[in-house]
Amino acid sequence: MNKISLSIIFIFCTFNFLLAQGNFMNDSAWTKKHFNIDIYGNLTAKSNAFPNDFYKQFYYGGYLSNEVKLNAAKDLKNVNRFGGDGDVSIQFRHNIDSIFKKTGWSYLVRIAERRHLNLEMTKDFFNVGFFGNAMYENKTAQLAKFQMDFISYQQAGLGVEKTLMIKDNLHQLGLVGSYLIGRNAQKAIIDKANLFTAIDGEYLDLEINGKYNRTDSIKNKQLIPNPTKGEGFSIDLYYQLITIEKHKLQLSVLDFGYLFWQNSAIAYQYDTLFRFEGIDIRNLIDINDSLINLSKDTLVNLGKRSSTKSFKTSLPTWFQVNYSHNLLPGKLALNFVGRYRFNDVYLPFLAVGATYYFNKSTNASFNIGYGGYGSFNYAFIINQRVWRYFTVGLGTNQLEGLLMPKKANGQSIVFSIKSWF
Amino acid sequence: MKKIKFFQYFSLGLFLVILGACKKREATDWDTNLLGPLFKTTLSIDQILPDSLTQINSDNSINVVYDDLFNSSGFVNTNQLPDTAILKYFTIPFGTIFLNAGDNFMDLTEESNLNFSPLELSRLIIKSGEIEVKIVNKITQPVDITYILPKALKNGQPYTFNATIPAYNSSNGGNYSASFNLDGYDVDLRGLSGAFVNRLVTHLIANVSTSANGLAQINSTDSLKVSIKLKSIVPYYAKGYFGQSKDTSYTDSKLTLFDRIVAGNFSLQEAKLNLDIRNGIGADIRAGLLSFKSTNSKTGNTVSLQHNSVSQIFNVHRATDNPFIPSLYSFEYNNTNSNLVSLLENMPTSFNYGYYAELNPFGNISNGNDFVYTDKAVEAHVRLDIPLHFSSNNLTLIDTIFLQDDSLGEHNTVKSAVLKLIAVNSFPFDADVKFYLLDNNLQKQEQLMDKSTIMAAQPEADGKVRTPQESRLPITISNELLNKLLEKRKVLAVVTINTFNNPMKYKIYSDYKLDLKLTGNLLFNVQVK
Repeated sequence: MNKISLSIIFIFCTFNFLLAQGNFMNDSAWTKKHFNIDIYGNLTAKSNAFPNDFYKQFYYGGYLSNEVKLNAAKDLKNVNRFGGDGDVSIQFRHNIDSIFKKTGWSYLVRIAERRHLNLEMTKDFFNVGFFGNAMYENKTAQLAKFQMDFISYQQAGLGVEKTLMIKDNLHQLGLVGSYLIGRNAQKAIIDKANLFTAIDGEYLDLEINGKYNRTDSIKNKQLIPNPTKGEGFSIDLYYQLITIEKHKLQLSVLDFGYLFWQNSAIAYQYDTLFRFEGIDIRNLIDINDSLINLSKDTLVNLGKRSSTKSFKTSLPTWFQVNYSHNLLPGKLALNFVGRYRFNDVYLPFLAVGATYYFNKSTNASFNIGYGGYGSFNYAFIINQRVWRYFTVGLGTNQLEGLLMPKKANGQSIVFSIKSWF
Repeated sequence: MKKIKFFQYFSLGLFLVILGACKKREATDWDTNLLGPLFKTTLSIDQILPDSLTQINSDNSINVVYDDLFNSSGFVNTNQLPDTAILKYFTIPFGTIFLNAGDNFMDLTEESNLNFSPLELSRLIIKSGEIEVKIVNKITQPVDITYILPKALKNGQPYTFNATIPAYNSSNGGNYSASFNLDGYDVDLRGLSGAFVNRLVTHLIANVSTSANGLAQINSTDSLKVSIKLKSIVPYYAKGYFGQSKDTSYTDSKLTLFDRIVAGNFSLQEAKLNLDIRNGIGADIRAGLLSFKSTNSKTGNTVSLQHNSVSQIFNVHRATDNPFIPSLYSFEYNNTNSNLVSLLENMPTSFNYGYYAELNPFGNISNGNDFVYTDKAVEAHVRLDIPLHFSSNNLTLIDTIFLQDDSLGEHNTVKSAVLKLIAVNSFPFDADVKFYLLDNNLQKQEQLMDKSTIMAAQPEADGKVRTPQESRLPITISNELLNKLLEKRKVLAVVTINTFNNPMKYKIYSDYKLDLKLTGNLLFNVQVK
């Protein structure tokens, strides 16, 4: 068995592991096939505090009972994080025999639809939001730091890869540049927000310092994204090393880039110490007229609003290290993952795991990780080769979400369909 | 093979989970307890009473002052003279003649009686009005006419109008109709000789029109029918003899000031009413106030004014002209000479009064020189001055509040509310506040909350409040009650006022106010779509 053959076996063994991490990685380095199409989907949510039952119900709608809220509140931390991703992509890759008499080159084309939400809030923020400020009578609720980022965009990418053998070790470098079409964004950073509720609610003191940007929600309803609304760019840069000693190392920086929101961007800037003592009825004798003129903005429009201010979103960028060792070739591989996500509330994440091969067509992986948006999480993935050209993968990055759907703090579904020909 | 099945089952399971994930989203809602201020307001005297009714004294105490001026043309009905029509039928005084275009065939000056009876006017300055002219031409050629009122002058020029009357034909007579403005004309109504009254002098000149075609044949049966009408004449000045007339009248004048008071009473320290009458009519008048009563239809109480002016007939002397000097009469009603305070404390829903008036009781002693300037005939200046210095005993006011749809649009997510009314009162009276739900016929239904009392501030020894009193009143509104409120949208507010240490009377000062703040602990349903 030559090096290439060993490598092909190796990559098939580790494919599931890569899928379970929910990020881009490729196996083009070890195949003799010329063409490859990947379809990939990921729906993942994770929190260090909120149980699935809570945010699922929040997302799908309906009445949030006190029981659901109390259940969510009992595990609240001082800093509570939540992150979610929804991605669908399709990618075409062509390994070129030679170009300008050079070998080892390939190019790829990829389009993707991506959505990402991450937020971080204090316990008081959650309590005020879902239980109200009555429990803070004659107390100050510390609502900051609060951070939220939501982006939705489309991605069209074009990349090149170079694969080469150096001293029997296989090296691959890849670079993908993408043009981004923004669909929707919301961004809030509140560094300081203290809410004091006086006895009997006689007055409210709010000290707030922060800003909030969003795109026009009305224009967001359009089906076809409008490039004039938001556009940007991103790059993926990755390196792979596969040694003859069955070690594999992957280093990647993914989704490094920006989205610029121009038209229909709305910005709020809050930096105020505000005391609210009720709607001022100028003349009690004409109370009806006074009530008619009440405006919701009276309560919420504490900051300056600029309807034309553009803003920039830094994409949540992955930095990822994967290491894998084929312990028992054809039977068992050990995996290690380290990752961090910039511009996000994500904490450094570490995971270890193993992949077991039932036969040449079927394998399954299990990983245990810690960090990210939550604490512990468990990933499981199973891959099956179907027909001749297809490999289908299904799994989850949050196995606990499937086993304990109400109590767990995360849920995830990932799938892939991969074909070489 | 078993592994394949495992994979299939696992895939099926995940597929179902994915389907679950595709469940249609709907709005999310939850209940939250929001505690905070809702409304705040300050109730001060200047909100209860308009500035035009209050007068702040040097010690900052407040008087309610009602000051008004009534104008009347008095007993002479010259507000608008009756419309008066004059119809003239001019025939040709000789047999058939032939005239060229432009030839004159009529030039007549006449005087006509105007029906202004019983007024016998010798002079009239018209403030506004018009003359309506209708002419029917029976001549078969068009006619140019000039119509002049030689004794109606404006800027020294007589009133004149010119018109061309179309020719007569068998199907349609030559009709002409127009109206002209008479504003500002000074009309001598003494006729051609200057010895009569109510007589208007007219001058008609008629020529065959210069636009006539060929010779005009005019027969003795041809005519011009001229009709003029003085319409809507409002005099600025009238002179003559206004005749004799007598009038006795009793009138009800409704009063809404106390409409909202349904029970209790108040006691005023003092009140004063000044009545100044200014007679600008150049005619003698004999007049008297026959009665003046304060009637409260809710209690059935009636209080009659007791004052030496009541039931006395007195002569009002005529004004003099050139220069114009009216005759003046003044009356004062106060605590010492009348029972005015009792009339006000009766909280009248109406005043009922009767008067007697007689014009020119001594006949035409001016020899036709009665006069009136209609904008300054009779003026009555009434000034009612009530110091806000009173005591009240269970004085109960009501008001109906109609909650508009718009005002409740955002309130339908409130499931229940525990409200608190925080009142800081510097008025020396307490106020019991109650709210009732009203049905569609505005009939009182259930009470919205228990009676709550805003406590009175305590005046110091000099009767002035310097330290306001705070009251915190809880108000609980259940979900059921809130729904009824949202359904009916009509609320009756009942406020009962008792002054501190009743029956002591206290002055109200301009710096008194009632600060109200309504806070709420609302069980609020938040909805996120």
